[in-house]
Amino acid sequence: MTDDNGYQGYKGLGLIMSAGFTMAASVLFGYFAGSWLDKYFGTKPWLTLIMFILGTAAGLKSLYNLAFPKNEGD
Amino acid sequence: MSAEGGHHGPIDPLFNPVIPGTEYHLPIYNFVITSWVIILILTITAILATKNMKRFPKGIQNVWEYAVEGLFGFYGGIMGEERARKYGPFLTTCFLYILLCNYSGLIPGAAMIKGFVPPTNNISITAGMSIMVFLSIFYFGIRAKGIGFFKHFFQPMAFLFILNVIEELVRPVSLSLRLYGNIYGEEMIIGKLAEMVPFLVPLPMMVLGVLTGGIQAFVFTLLASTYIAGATEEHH
Repeated sequence: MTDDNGYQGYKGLGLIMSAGFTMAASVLFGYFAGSWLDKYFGTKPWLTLIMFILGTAAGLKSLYNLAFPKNEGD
Repeated sequence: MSAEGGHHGPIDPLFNPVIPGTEYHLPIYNFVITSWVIILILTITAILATKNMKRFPKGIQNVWEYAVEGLFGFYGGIMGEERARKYGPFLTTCFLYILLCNYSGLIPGAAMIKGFVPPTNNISITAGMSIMVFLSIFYFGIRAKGIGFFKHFFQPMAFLFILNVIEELVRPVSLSLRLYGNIYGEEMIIGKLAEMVPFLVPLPMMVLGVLTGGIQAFVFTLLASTYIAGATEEHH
C-alpha cells in the first residue's frame, strides 16, 4: 500500500466533481417525487413543498457525509 | 446526415420484430447493438487474455493485467485490499463497459452515421447501470452484514430515517443523470460542429470528449465503489 496517496488524490478529485451534481439531483428528486405524490393523493401543493425541503436537506446531508466520512473512528 | 434533425433527433429502431405469440414489438435500437458489440469485444478479449496465461504477460494479457491491476489497486485504496478482491470484478466490469461505451462515439466517422450514438448517450442504458449499482449496494450490504445492514438508515439518529432513505434513492438518479448528461452534451456539441464544419473544427471538442469519457467512467465507478464500501463496512 505504498502508492495509496496517489489513489487518495484521485478519489478526492472524483468525489468533489460529483458533489455539485449530487446536490442538484437531490433537490430535483425531492421536487419531482413530491409533485408525483401530490398528483397521486390530490394534496397539491403540500407534499411538493415538504418533499422539496426534505430533498434539499438530504442533499446537504450527503455533502456533509462527503466532507466527514464516518468510516474512520467509530 | 439527414435533414430531420441530424443524428440526434428521435431515431427509429433498427429492427422491430414482433414477440411471438403476442402483439407487442421488441424494438432494437442502434445503441443497443453498439452495446452488444462492446460486450462481445470485452468478453472475447477477456477470454483470449486468460486462455493460456503466461508468467511474463505479453500482448493482450498484458493489457488486461495492467487494467485490472490498476483498478483493483484503486479500489483497494477505497475499501481495503480484501473487499477490493471481492467487489472488484463487478466494479471493473462497470468501468470498462462505460469507458468503451463513451469512447465508441469517438470512432472516426462515427458522428456521420445516422442514428449512431454511444450507448451511454441514452438514459435507458445509464439508468439500467445505476439500478444495477443500486441493487448491488443492497445485495452486497445484506450479504456482508445481514439484517444489520438496515441499521444505517437510522444512523446517526433515528429521526434522520427519511433523509437517509431519500439520500439512498437519489443515488441511482444522480448516477444515471450525471453519466447521461455529460455524454449527451459532449456528443451533441461534436455532432453539431461536425454538421457545420466536418473537417478539423470538431477536433478540440473530441479531445475534450476523450477527457469527459474517461472522467465520467471513473466518477461512476468511484461513486459505486464508495457506496458499496459504505454498505459493507464492518464497525469495529
